Amino acid sequence: MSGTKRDNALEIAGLAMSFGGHEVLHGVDLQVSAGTITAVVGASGCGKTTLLRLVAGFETPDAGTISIAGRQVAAQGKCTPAHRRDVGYVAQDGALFPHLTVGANIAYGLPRGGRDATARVAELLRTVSLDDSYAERRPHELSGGQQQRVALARALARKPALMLLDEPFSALDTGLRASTRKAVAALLAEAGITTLLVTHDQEEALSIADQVAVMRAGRFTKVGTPQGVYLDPGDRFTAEFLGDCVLLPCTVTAGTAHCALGVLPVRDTDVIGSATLMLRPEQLVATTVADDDKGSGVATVLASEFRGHDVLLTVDLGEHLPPITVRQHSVAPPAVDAKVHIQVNGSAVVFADERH
Amino acid sequence: MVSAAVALLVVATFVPLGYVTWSMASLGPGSVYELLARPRVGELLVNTVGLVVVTVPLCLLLGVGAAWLVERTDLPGRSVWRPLFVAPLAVPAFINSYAWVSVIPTLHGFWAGVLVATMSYFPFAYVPVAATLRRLDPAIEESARALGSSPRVAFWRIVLPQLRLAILGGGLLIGVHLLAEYGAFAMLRFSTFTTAIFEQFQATFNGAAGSTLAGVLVLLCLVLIVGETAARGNARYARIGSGAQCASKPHHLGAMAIPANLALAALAVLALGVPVWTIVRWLWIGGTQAWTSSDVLTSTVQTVVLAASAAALTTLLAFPFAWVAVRYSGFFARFVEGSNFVTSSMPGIVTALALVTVAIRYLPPLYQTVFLVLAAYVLMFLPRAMVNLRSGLAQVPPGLEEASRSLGVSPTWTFLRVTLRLTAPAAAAGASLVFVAVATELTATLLLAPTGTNTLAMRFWSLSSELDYADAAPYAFLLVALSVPVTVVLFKQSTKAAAL
Repeated sequence: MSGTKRDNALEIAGLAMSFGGHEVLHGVDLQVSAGTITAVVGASGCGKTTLLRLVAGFETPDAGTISIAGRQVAAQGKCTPAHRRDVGYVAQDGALFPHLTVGANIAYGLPRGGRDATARVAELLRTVSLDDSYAERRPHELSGGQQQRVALARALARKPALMLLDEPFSALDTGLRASTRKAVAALLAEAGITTLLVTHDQEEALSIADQVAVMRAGRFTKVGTPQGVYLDPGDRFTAEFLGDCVLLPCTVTAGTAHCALGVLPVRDTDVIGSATLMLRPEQLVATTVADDDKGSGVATVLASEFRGHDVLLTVDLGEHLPPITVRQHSVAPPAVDAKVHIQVNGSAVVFADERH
Repeated sequence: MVSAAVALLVVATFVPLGYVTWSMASLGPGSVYELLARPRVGELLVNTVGLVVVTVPLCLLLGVGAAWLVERTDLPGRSVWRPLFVAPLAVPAFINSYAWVSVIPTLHGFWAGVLVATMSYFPFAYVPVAATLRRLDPAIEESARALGSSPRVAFWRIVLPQLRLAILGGGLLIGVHLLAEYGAFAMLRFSTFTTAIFEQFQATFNGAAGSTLAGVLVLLCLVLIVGETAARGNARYARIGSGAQCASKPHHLGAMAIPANLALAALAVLALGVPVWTIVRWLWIGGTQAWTSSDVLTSTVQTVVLAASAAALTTLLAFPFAWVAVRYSGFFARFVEGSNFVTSSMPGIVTALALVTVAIRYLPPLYQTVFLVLAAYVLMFLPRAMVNLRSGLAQVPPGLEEASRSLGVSPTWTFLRVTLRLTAPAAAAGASLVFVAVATELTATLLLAPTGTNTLAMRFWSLSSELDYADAAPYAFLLVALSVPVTVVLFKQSTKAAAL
């Protein structure tokens, strides 16, 4: 982390929650530094939305504490209601009030009868890159992306200490999602608003957040920077959830791993002996070698999937191993059936073999 | 707090059923048997059961037949027929009776009852069946044809089963109305349990004989409800699959077009022509003189005030019910919904009798007050307000309330600024249905209204009972006119459902 150590805008400790006897969150801890974006990512039903609703104050936790900007808002038997929490909340579909104009929606949380409400609404509309004239429109006259921007403007109006985003881009189509995401991230960073975002889209989490927390069955499996969790995911589930993996059996000795791709450097680990090695497909580069080259690390290309900017090669390493995936730039890739040599960039991660 | 209010209301909805059970129990089985084992009770049972057994199938036949002809054939003038068969709903049954009796003065007895009831109630079958027919996916019928079924076989095996829920619902509604109707049959001198209970009440006020008859009536009503629920089962006919539904291709009537048109025209004349012609004729005969009586103005004002208060009160009380039904699941929510449905299916006369008894026994000052009439209206018409409110509330996703709270607005203000505001149209629709139901209500009003009250229905009733048809005509006209706007709304709703 760079810069001076800042206070946490959100602190969650030992948070537990169950619905109808089924425990959804098992003692979750999380710290979010002021002015940063944290993304909670996980498959649907893993408890991430429950976590967000607990922070927003829509649900009461069974155990644990939540503090927002140094103020405890949920603890044993004491729970601040949602409207006194000083949080902004943007729901999946925006949840704009259908009976109010865009302007009235944005002004909803502002003190009633404020004199400069109109000016503030115009300013907020500009903040989310919408023209002043949108204030007079009705929510149903806006596109999905515009509705989401208005919902964000409405949540920003009260300058909340913490912004909560519940899958805010999932209702948008692919092209719009990327651009809206970029715009929202820039806007939140510029305003210096601490944000907790929940998503099932790992690409979204990795691209937008300063901190990524991967959740599985009500627990965080890994919390860290996007690069950190992607390259050093801690366990196989997290690794596979965050992106494509190349998994190979290996033997670990003193900082190196022996596997079908040769001897590779390994990140800090306690694992010794037989284990599973994980690489990302983009760490590998396949180069064509002469047909008669039979040295170690020579493999055969089984299939090639052209994807524009890059190419996905399915490569057979022999030795009765399942084929692996190589991702490399699409300029002059090896042809199908070609013999290739595989070069590995960076170090590998090893996981202890799961005991049955 | 909401739960407590709902629980209290649920208790109140059991007053009519509780009254019947309690009076039976306090009489003891011996006296009950003695009161029931009379030739008069046998005659009433034959009349009432016979009326239901003959009229309900007849209404269903006419309703389904007319709906099929209008919606699924190349019958000319579809857009004219559609509103014509919804329109009879604007004519209360007792006004229909008055119309028929003044056309054929000798009309009386069982078949007269069947005729008038059929003409008044077949739209209860027509409206849901027509709406369902419009929504049916024609691809299903076409698939049946492709599998070798003739149009006739396809209708019986494919179309009719899909109309089951509409037919059962319509049939139950008709049956419940037949059991509860007083005015229409009293005017035709045809005795059913309801008319007999009414006469008993006028003669002995609150005798054991009356409450025993009420017990039998409630039993008949419960048989209908249980029968409909059992027949309905878990059936659910949803359109499976996605994609746009193609427009249905109407059946070609060919040579049958002329008889079909004639049959529909005859139905329209009998159901709508007779009352309209009678009212117009008597208005013409009565001239301006019938209108100049100050009673017309007084009873219009009284009716509007009474109906408006009942509509407001019912809608207000329906709110917690609808809230529980939409936002909670499980046994309590289903029980709450079911309990007020059963109570509202109870004939108005049973509800009125129960309230009179409870008031006299426990709260004598309430007897002969507006409060008691309003209480009866609430018990009878709560579901009309609730059904609308429920769909209105269902359109306010909890996400909107959460958004409001996260914007710093307290739950109370959120309710006022978001929830209440968004349910207002549905509440208004429900309230207007209750308004019309109260404005045209006769039975419970006659029993419970404080002395000096003279609603339009009561004035109409006393004038037509004195055979003063010309002076009754303005009241009949006003009662129909009050119902027209709501019937129009109902018609629009049923056609709009086709676009879904």
